[in-house]
Amino acid sequence: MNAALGIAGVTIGLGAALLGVISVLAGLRQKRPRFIAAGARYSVIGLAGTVLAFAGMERALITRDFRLAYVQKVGGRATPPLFNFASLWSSLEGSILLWTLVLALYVALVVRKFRRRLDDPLMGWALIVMFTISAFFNALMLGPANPFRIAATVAADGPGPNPLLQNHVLMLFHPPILYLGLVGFSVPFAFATAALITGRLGEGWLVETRRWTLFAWGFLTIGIVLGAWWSYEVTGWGGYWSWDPVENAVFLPWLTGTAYIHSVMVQERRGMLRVWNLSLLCATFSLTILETFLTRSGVLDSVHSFSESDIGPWLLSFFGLVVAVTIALIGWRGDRLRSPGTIDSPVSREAAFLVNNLLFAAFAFVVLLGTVFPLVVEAVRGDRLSVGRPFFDRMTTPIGLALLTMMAIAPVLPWRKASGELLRARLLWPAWMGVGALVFAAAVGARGFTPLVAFGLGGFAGGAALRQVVLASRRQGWRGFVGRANGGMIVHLGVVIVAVAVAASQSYAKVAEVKLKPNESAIVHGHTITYLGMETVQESNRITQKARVRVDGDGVYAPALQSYDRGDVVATPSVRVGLKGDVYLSLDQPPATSGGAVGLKVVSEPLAMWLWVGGGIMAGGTALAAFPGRRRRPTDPVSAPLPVDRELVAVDG
Amino acid sequence: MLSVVLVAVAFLLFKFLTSATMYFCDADQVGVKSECSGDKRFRLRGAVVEGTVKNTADGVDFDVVLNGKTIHVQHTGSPPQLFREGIQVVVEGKLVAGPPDGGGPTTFASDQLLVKHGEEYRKKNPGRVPADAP
Repeated sequence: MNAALGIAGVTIGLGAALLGVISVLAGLRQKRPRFIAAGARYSVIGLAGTVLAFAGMERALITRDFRLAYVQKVGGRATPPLFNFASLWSSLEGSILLWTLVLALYVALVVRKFRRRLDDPLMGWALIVMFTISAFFNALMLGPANPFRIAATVAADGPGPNPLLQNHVLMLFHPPILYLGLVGFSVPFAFATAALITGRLGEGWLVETRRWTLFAWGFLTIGIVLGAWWSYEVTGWGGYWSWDPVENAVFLPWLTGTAYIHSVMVQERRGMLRVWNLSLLCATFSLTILETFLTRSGVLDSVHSFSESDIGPWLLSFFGLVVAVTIALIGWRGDRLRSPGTIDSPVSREAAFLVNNLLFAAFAFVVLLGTVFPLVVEAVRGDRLSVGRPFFDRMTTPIGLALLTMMAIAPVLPWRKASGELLRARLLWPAWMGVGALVFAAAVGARGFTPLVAFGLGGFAGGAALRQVVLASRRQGWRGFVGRANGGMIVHLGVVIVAVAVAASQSYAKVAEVKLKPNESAIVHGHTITYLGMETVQESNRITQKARVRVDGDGVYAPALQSYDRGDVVATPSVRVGLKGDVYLSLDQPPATSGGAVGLKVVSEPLAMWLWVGGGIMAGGTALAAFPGRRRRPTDPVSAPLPVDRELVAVDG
Repeated sequence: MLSVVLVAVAFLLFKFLTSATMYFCDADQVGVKSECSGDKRFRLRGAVVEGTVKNTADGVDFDVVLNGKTIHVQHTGSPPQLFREGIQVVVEGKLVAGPPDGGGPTTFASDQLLVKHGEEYRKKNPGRVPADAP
């Protein structure tokens, strides 16, 4: 029943996507708007099919239908209801289903938003691209990643999802939010491809997809921050980012996407960097496919890649196809992509954006290299190796500091050309804020070259962003906080906070291991840690051993070890969160005897909470940036047949 | 000019990349493969030999075996709670005493210890760990 429901849903999804491609293509060829309108309606049918499949899988999980192989893999009678619901996306097949659902949602939303302009070829081609992607993911579910496969053997119960995925509530939110971000880049990608195919390479498609891009970028940002937070709260090694290949795989599209949302402004304003923008978008979308390949094919073995199957070649081929097709399209349209303008002065907003983009591209290249290098070596020579933190830290620290510098200078630069006096006048008080931050950091005891430079530049960049926000709000009142430029500055403030928190926590985190008998205390990194005793809690699917620990005499924390019925033991750290820094407790060794000593790991993690605060501010800033500002120019509708030389007219916007 | 800069950058990248890479070696590859010998840091995998585990002042000593070859491991730091005899482990560190033909047992000083349990390694420290260990 559930399987039949699911298979039916996936088949409808695939059929609707394929019919959508055919119908829109036919409509465009024969210039029949009716066919295109019919094709657009397939988006709703496709969404309905995927929702049906999703509902079928949830029903199977909730009713514990252990005939399904997938339910046998991730389901369990003892799993609490919410985690049982979320176990849909805890393994390969289900996460492809979630991906398809999010994609179907985006396709339907795009059709709804542009419903009055569907007969425009640009729209038509964008739809064709999205339907094609959708068909691919639906086909995956009928082929190598079928979530509704009936198991060969019958089981009465399952193990439940991976314990690391069911001991924190963030697991309910992190994957769907991440997917809203990753999959969201399909929309601007589809429009970019459509612009290449139709040859309408003006700024129209950029403006139309601006908010979609921001939306995707915002969710990707939140998803990454939540992932880091989850890692901090769950994995128990005391950190939040380990340059693990799976983290890198999500970070890569974020880097190219961030480069894009900056450089796109140069194209909107000056008509330049067209090839570059198209390439960035295509790279971002391909990297989201590479992300699914890296995390879902089992080529990496880390905590995230809890799924291995024969899906790898499919995803890799699709990735290769996307890269090849987009490169061919850009090459084919090369003659129309020549930009009508040039950069007038190296001291100008557009030049700053160019530098920013080169830095982001270098950042992405370094991360990609470190992530893929072990795979290449393994494929070529058969050796297994890993690229460690030192590579990433050494390569990305200077790039990060350079980006902070650009963040300070770029927002105050005018377009076209800036004079030295102007720059001096505008950078004066941001620079003083930088000096102030540096002096303050040194006064409270911060030492070390890199972190101090980071704090100084953070103050500088924060000052520049603050200056813009203050000026804008003085001029425009509350509207000084909304719109792309102003919201962007709020995002910058969030980035500065994250950067300072990263610099502090990476440079000054201290780890210690202590062994304590009941009611014994130890002073660790200036904190008094008192072990009070053990406590054991039995739950439906696990036994939790908690060490009760008092920190600095004010609160009792309970780092725990959880033994799941499926045989895994997972550590759950406990964190005392503070404005100045966290005290992170993790239970290393439970006592051997009831009155015995407990082994605790104590990590002091300066400014850690500001990572999450900064991430929140980034998300809020993105929302403000998407809010229409006052000076929003009426944009040319996509549907208006554009004269070829319109691009020349738009240059001087 | 540009090409000089590019070559320099590529050289730096390669240098950093190779200096930060770490090889996974099976116990029987130690002293055989060049990446698994000398004073290089690498990750060693094998099964903990029954009856060899001894707690020391700053950690634990034990032997690991894979494909018939035994390596003595001196680990610094408290082992993860799942550590016990007979299980698969991956340790990270370097050789401190030479191969058997140089006299004495092959000894590996480790400062990171990962335990394989069930189908996956517990992620105690960042890095890539093979899941297909025998």
